[in-house]
Amino acid sequence: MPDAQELESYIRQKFAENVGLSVAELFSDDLTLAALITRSERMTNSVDLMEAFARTSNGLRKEYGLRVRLPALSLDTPVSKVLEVFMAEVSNPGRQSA
Amino acid sequence: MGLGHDLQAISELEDARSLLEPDVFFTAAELAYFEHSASPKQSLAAGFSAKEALFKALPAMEDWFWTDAELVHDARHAPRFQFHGALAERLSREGWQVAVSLSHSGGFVSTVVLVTRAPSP
Repeated sequence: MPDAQELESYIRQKFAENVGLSVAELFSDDLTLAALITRSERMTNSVDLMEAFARTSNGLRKEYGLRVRLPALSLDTPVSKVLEVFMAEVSNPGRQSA
Repeated sequence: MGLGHDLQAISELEDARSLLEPDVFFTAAELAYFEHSASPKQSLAAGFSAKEALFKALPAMEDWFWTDAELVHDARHAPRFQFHGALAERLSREGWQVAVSLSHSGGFVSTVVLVTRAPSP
């Protein structure tokens, strides 16, 4: 089982990769979801946003056998909150994938 | 009372393959319904749109997941939500009822969700 630091680093990297921004750009400024969509050239709407988060979730399942549900959050939510929810999901033993 | 409307282009869901993984955004039962419908992409877009409209209709609340709001259909294919987890508990505690209406036309899906408080007994 990977430790929390490894998982957090993986999630940060995959978030950034899937939305088309650097880790620094995404997390140093703690962008809101609305700002993220505006700044990313790859994203135009909430379908793109959910697809990017779902890709991260699917990566966690394939790499670590962990299943993450996507949270329902408003567009003024900072990305650090999304990271927090993902970390809570992967820390929950009940979320381990069969 | 809360009212939410969403207009969704079906084409925007065409490349959304990661959303098809069960229990991430949709439940396994929702995905099975979409797959077996006459137009799977249209049905998928309707599911996405319904959840977006629900989000707009509900008062601000944290700690619920998209899979907590499961879109189901009766024998006549009329949609309604079946709630789970923290969202189900909150709706029950507050005595809220949720109605949903879906419509398709010209490559778009339109959804309206109405949240009302159940009348006191």
